[in-house]
Amino acid sequence: MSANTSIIMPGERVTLVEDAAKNKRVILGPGLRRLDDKVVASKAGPLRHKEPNTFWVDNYQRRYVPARGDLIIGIVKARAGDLYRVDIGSADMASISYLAFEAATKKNRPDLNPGDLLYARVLNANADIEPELVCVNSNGKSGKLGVLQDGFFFKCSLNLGRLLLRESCPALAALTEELPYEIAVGVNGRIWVKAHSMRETVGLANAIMALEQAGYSEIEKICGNLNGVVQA
Amino acid sequence: MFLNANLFEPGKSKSERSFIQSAVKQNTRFDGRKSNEFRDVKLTFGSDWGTVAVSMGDTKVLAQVSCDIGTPSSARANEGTLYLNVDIKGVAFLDEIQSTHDQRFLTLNSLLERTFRSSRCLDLESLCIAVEQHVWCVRVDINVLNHDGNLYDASTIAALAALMHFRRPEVSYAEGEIHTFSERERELMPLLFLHYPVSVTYCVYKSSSHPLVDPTLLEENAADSIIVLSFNSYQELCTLNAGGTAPTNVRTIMQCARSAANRSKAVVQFIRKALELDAERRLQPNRVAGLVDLLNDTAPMLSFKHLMEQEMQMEVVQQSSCEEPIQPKETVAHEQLHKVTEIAETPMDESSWLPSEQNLQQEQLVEDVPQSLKESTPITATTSKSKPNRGKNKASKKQQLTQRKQDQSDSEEEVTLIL
Amino acid sequence: MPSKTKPRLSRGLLDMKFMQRTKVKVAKEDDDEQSRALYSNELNQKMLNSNSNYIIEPSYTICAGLIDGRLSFRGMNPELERLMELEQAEKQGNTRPEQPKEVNDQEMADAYYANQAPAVCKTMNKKFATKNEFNKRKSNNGNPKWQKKGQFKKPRADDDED
Repeated sequence: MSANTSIIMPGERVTLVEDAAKNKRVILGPGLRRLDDKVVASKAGPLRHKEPNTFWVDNYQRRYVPARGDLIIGIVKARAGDLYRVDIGSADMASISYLAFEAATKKNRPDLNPGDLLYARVLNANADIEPELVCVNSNGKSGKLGVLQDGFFFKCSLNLGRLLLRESCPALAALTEELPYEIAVGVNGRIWVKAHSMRETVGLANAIMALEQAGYSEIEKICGNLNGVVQA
Repeated sequence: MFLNANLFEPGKSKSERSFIQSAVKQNTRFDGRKSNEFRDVKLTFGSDWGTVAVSMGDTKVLAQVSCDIGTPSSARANEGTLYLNVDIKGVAFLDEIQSTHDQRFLTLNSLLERTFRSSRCLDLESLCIAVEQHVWCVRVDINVLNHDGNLYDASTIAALAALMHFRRPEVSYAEGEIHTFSERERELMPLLFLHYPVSVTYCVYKSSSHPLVDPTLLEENAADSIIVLSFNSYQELCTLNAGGTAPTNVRTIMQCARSAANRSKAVVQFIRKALELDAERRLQPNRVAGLVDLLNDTAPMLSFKHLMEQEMQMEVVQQSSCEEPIQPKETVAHEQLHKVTEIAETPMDESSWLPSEQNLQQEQLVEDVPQSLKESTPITATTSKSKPNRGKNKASKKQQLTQRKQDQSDSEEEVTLIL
Repeated sequence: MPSKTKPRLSRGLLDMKFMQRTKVKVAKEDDDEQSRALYSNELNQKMLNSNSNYIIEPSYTICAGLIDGRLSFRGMNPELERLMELEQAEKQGNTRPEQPKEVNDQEMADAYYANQAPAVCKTMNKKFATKNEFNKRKSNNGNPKWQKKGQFKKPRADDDED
């Protein structure tokens, strides 16, 4: 990821991307839009670029907009016929079929109740229909997906979720040095953590929430202090 | 962070709820407070009279008092009116459906109505200009800016502080004509109070016998029942609101009531002090603080911890100079609070109405609390605690006593039955 | 009309159990054709012909290359950590670790020559050879290891993935 920190505003024409598109194909991520042969920003924030050809706007946002393939945490709200309604923080309630779990059959339904947490993948995301989730991969195995038991759960900005999930993010590694833990980070700005004791869990959650205001550049510095936050 | 850290309400998932339950069992809270520790209350007075913003942690409430000349109702021809308007649209994003929004609104509204209107804390007769013709109509607009739990306390503190801060212009009435004096002609007049009520909120959990005071939104949503008690500065009960499913016994409620009474007294003291400081500040020029300052936390704030700590130190010094050796300075707020109230308290007939260990006496106390509620309506500002008609009620009291052999009350109905 | 004469599989055939995959394929083709027909009058020539250099990707996960958010550290959830390790290994090597061979190449070749020699004349011979003789011949070759009985390895679940 290049250290490009130019801030763009909605409606602004992004010539940088247009130049790049002259001689190769370019992937426009969220926040960028194509109008005929111009590229225009639709969100405000720093323009990010990933080699070789991906551009997107990393805007500050709390409301999750579902996108296909995202891994999210949802709260089961209700059971409706063959479906469970799941709150994933988007404008619409998402749905998950009871067959979308490992080894589930019509006879053998998964035992989900309102209030349960699900770590699931967005299968379908469309502006006009409600998002659909799955808890299995293409082989019918659950893998990392499924119900999250115990632990503590909290919500944060979408940016914090994304920040933690960057491959080079030092935060989780820094926390690993403090204590053993288990975590699920949804890109819909929801985080579930579990440590051995309650005190540790509280410390862990507070440490992660302390990162809320961090940017890419400050995060290293804050990670140095995480130790103190966990202790306190 | 000014807004709730998310657009959604915490405490809607099982893991959050069970986590809080087990945390309560182990006597820890998420923000590191003790179970009987309050968040710091901060008051910010606006440049207009009767404009106050209250913040308790991330909960923020803005109250604004205005007045108008109107006609009285025929039933109470010689009294002004007090109108309370609650607006929680600022936190409407928390509600998934309309009904939860309405629920939240109604509970808050009814609490405020009972705390301020039904308890008759304002001397409404003093707001009368001409009987059956002209009275002052006082209106309190309470605007919830952010909700992180304990909206009840924040709103009552905001409303009370705003009412106490408010000044109305003086008027003269002669030959059917009202003349309103401008601020230059005559000084503005504060409202007259009969008593000063403030609420205190507790959360009760099934897993623990210790209720949590001043809950955050997460704690509130995970709670099995919520008890809201309004006390005035004379430690008289004005409102009791208890619901939910947790088995609350009389002892728990009395425990809450006792500390709530102390807390209310301290809060009213704090508001008075804050008003004094604000009056001083008003004499100096350039003290305009707008909404933007408020949002940025740059407006001059008066913090409960800060103010009461000062007072504590003063009192300790005074006390130590005459009789006691210097006590170590405490840093924990609730302990200070407790001490402050103890020191500042005028001798009251506490023994008669606060619960002792004996069960029978405890029963009596429960009877006493609602009595003081009844009494609180007509009292004047100078009386402290009076129970003139205790003997009269004795017979009925005994009846109720036998009725309530088992002092477990699981639901709101039963609590109201006791009352 | 070539399009009309295009052969179609009967429904009875498609409903048979072994035709399920083809059935899905046929259904998809039908769907595509229908949607093409539906939008054909709305798509203009420019839209069809312009090959743009832009690809729209609405997901942050894919754009920023975010990792899976389900992690466990220092033995909190061993099962999960095993999954993480597997994934890590796959990402680094991008080749799965080679399955150890029960019979090495040399042995395989020996066995081949011992068992069914390429010469035609020996095929008939072999027919009459007893098992005992076969073993004798092999031990003459000086490879006593062959005594070990070969076994099948259990196939892996993801063997046929790619």
